[in-house]
Amino acid sequence: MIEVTYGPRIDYSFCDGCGSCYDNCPTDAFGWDDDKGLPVVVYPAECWYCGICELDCPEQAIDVEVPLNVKLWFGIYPEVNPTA
Amino acid sequence: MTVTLEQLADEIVETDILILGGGLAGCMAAIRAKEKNNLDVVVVEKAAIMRSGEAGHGVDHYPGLAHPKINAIDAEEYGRKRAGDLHPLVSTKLSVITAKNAFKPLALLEDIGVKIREEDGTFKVAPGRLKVLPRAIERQGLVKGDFVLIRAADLKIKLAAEVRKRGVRVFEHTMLTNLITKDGSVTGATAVNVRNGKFVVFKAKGVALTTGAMQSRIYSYPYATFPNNLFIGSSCPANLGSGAAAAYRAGARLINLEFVDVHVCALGWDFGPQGATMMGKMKNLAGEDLFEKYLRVTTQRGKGAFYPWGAYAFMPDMSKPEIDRNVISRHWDGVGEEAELYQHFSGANETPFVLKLMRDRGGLRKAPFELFPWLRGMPRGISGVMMDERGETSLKGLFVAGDIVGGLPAYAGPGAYVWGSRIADHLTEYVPDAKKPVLDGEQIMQVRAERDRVRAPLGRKDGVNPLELEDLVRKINTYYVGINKIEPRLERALELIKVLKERFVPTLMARNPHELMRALEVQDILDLSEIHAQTALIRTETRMPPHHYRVDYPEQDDMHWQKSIVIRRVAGEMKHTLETLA
Repeated sequence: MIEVTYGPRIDYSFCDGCGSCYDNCPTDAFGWDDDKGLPVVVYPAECWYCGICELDCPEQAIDVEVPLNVKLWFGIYPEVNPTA
Repeated sequence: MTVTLEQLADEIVETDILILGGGLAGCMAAIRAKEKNNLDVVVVEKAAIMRSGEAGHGVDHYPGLAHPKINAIDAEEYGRKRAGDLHPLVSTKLSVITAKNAFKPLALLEDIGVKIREEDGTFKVAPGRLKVLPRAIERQGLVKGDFVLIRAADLKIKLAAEVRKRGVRVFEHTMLTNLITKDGSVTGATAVNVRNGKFVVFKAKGVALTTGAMQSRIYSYPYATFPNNLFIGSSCPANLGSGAAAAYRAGARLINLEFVDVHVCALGWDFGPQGATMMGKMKNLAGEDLFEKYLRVTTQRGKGAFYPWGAYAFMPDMSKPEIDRNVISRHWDGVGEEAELYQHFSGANETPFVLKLMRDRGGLRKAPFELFPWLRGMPRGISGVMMDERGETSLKGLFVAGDIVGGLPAYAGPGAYVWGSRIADHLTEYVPDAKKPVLDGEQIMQVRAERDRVRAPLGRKDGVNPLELEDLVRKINTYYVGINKIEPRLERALELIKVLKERFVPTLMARNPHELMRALEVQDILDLSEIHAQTALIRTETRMPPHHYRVDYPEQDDMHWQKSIVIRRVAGEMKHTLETLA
């Protein structure tokens, strides 16, 4: 499977496994890791950027990354490091 | 060998009132149905009722108000005017009922803690659909507007809590697959849990279908990358019209399916999920104000920089194809602070993600926002399932409310609250006299066939990916149906859809229940696409272009076509009649 760079991202150093994102995502983009008791982003490509997961996360552990087309047309450009 | 229902279903649920879809209309119907009686009420929701539907991410406005407390508009006149704008495709009677009742649900919303009024108890009234009102009323200077700004970021959270408080049984992550019918009545529904794959049979005395419009996943959004392009759109992608497709398959009457909704938007949205307001001036490369110069506006028109958007705000003029031949963007030069404040208000209450985008780009006014035309399926309000003034469809025991309804101007939230309440009232009257739902031989055969259809993709290997098939049919709709409709292409679309249904659908593959949801959704999209192209082929005229623009019949033909196309499925075939709604 090809990894995409957009969609919700979970910072596990903050996530406390409350399950709000997993329960409420309207497109069911999240799955659940039973072993760890934590949510996982299984279908990032099915994100429609409603922002509900990010908004409702009590630990602010979620950041929804927008896709390239949105970055281009909204003028949100990546940092370019000429020495890299 | 006879099969029993118990053998076919993983779970059987029996109830008095079954509500399919837990958005605004569904939640409202559930709350109302529990108000005065002890009937058992079940809500079935594909996602989770706390955040599902068009209002899932919040609501910043309550439109469509004609009431002494808000303005001096006469509700009857307002309802007539709204229907008149869309004559002859919508019902004046139903529009007037909606307008007359649109104020009432505010009380319930306030009771459950939704923030409607300002701190001082007044309503914050915005212009809304001011321009569509009779000029005489406007001149009297009595009208402030029909559009109240509300702080309902938590609307669905509050409604969902109330639904549960009243003892409604809620089945979430459960997708409707089909209705169960008996002698022209609806007696239940089949559904699948998209988390664990369980096949659930619901038996009910009365059924409400509140699954939303046929919008978000009919056409391609060509400006994003696959497969994300399937989910970006100006309304929640979970609402694609599965309920309308199920109603069609069950034999209900649907209306005005040939029309298409055209939007100009950024990120698939009008700068926010589900068509929320974006302000600023829309310009082309020459700096001309497109809104004033090139776009004809149907039901909505703002003043100055204030452009409230809604179900079908913009209609590119087909004789001036500016939309296709230019670069269009939203500019903020010379736009006042009030509009900027409103944009932030809107972001805070309805479009939370917009605030983040504005921050990430370094402010609202930093640069123009580029916009794209996008066909967002069948227009809500015009297209949908037909109902009578009780909210009942042509199938006995099946009621509809919200964006699924056709032949009624789009009243957005208030439409959902008003008709959600009304169908609950009629269901609570209808249900006590209705017989206990019995599924006998014929219904068991229906359930059996449905279970086989639903389960099939899970058993396949090396089949067709549902998302690929969805992308393909939506591209076919965009290329062969689209705005510029012409007979040979519409016929070709139908040929291709037939091939997809006959040859590709039987090979659909799903690796888990989530993918099974996508495999079932694409079958609904195919059914809706087919009737969309079929009805577009029937209407040999142009009406409200680009909503229905026939290149081969470019004129409006009132002599023959001052009517709606009403369709119904009979013995597997689409049959149509031409009707004028009262």
